[in-house]
Amino acid sequence: MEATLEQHLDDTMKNPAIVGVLCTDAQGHNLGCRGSLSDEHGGVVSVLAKQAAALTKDPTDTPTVCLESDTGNVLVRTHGTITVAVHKMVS
Amino acid sequence: MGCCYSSESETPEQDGDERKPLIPHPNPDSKPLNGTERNPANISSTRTDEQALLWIINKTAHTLSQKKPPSLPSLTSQPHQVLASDLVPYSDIQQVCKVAAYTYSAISQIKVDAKEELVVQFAIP
Amino acid sequence: MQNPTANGTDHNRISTALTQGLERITGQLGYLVISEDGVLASSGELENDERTAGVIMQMIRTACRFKLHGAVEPPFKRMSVMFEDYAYAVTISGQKVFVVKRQNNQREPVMA
Repeated sequence: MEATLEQHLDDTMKNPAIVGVLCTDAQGHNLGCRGSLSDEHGGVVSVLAKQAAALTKDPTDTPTVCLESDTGNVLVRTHGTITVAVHKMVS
Repeated sequence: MGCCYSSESETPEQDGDERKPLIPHPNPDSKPLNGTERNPANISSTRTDEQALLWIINKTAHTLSQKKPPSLPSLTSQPHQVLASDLVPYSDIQQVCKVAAYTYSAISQIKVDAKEELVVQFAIP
Repeated sequence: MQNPTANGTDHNRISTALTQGLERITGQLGYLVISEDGVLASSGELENDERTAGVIMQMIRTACRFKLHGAVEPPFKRMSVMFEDYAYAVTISGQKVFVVKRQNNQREPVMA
């Protein structure tokens, strides 16, 4: 059954601009990752998403956190109980 | 509570916790009782307590200064330009939203399947 | 005559040039300048917003723990928190955290 998630992560990495992808649960446990993003990033990613949500009182307005550089961005987004991070290079 | 120097038979417990020095006294026999003592041994013991208190204050201040979070790194020398530059394209935000939604559904699938298995097991007699 | 609001403590008051630069950012709705000791300056929708300042400080500290390929420096120069209609842009320079709340109206489809 895990194949669904693994397959999805592989499919995401097929985009040439994407060099890393990571998925964590609300506790920061790593559910799967590829490329430049690894186990060690799970904690920071889930904490950042939680802290960002504290910036608004509107629970329907889900924030996206972007760590930006000249070469690429790491984008963090929560959906339901999981948080994903996508490392995308500037095209 | 005793109010004067009485006898050696007085047990230390009678002093209660409020009278306990901050650190164990090196010479318990010269314990001051309500400051009525004037012998030199008593004065020196008061000083020892003060010194101990000072030592604790200094130690605490030192520990606190060490616990201060590490200084902030510099991310840029041109904060205004960095803050004014274009925001991340909306298409990238949409893309990560999509990845998050698909990932969520991929994981939900695992959970739903597990539940279905349980239901099936219960249904079979 | 139009002096930007600087709510900082006197010993840490920041220069007007610094805040004027932030005022000039297109679509800015407010800004914060924060040091380790607290808010040095604030304006607009973020005026005296200690709560947002606190959350942003926590976030930027978390973000600075993010390292790629064992690098020592954080691999980014700006952290943005994107909401539907606005965004917080955050960076650190000279031991100060700069936060600008900007309009985010990219969502409007560009259609003829």
